[in-house]
Amino acid sequence: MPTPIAEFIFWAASAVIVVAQLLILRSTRRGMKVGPPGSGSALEWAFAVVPAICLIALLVLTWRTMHAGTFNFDAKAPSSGVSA
Amino acid sequence: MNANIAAVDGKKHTFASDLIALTKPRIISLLLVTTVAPMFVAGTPTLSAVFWVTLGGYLMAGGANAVNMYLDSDIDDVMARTKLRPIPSGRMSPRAVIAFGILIATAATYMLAHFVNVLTAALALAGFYFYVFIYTRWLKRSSPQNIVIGGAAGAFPPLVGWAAVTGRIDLAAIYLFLIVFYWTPPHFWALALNKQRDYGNAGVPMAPLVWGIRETIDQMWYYTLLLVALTVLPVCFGVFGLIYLASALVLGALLIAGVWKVRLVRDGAWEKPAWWVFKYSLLYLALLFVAMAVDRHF
Repeated sequence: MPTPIAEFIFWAASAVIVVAQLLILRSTRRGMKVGPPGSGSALEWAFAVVPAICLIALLVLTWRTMHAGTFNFDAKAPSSGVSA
Repeated sequence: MNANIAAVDGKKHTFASDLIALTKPRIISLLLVTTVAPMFVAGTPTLSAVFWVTLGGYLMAGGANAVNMYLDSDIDDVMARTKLRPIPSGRMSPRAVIAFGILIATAATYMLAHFVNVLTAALALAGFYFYVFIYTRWLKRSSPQNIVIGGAAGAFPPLVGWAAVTGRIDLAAIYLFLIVFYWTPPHFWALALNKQRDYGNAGVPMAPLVWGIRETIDQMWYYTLLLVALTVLPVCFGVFGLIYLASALVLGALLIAGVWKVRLVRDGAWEKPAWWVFKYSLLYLALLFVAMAVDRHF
């Protein structure tokens, strides 16, 4: 189980990330409105939305990893010249 | 190719110095910090691993930069910042530049695959392709979010360093990738605020030119807050400890203060504080990655 400090850091950082990401989306929307014709395309919007979705997935994955305690540094490289 | 051509900038350029200039060594030095430091986060790499990853990383990034100079030679010619580069100044032919870029990137791929591992080589090559085709060829001239999505190209080095030691990509590596990804917008928009005329002349749709100054500065602010919050999250699942947490908070607080100063400007005099953010953000990223490595070993 994560420590209370880890839990606090997670929720505090997550709150900042979610709010900042929402503000980025709002600002992008505003920027698309004032930009030249064609700058408000669906693709342009996707450039802002896709990273936001990835961030949410990351937060979920982080939460699961914290509670499963599964993260470790034990892996070794299947390399031809490197030993970790 | 003529050697010892005296250029208009008063510097003496040799063929060798031009080849080095094509790789953009000053930019690569930061990329190498974000490549090698993750190796020490992921484990204790051998000296030979660090050597091959550093050399391979330099050549791959250098190859991407050379191909970028080939593809951008038309706009380099109209930008004050870039018009003295080897192609626009006529010291090297475009064909020689692209051949050089492809050659050293190929050498890097072989080196990393043979002396490190295939995943490391594949990731480095993916970074090369992303920079050349997604950023330079497609987004740079078509979207004000060019450096948001294109910033992913510069975020591959931590994955390369991590994969060199562990042979895999995991959650910690993804965090290192995202830290560089979210660091890129405030860093490059701080530069763009100072080089608007150049970008405007070249027809590059940087955010300040398309969205306006105020919207861009707002986005710099949001991205900075998001970045600093993101940097502390790896502490939650035990990748880093107190040394890193303290470093991330102090370094982040300075970055936040710098961007806040830009945000406070109301009379149009944002150039000086924005330039400070541009310079400090370079130091910020380097020190953050050094702190990661130090934290893991002390």
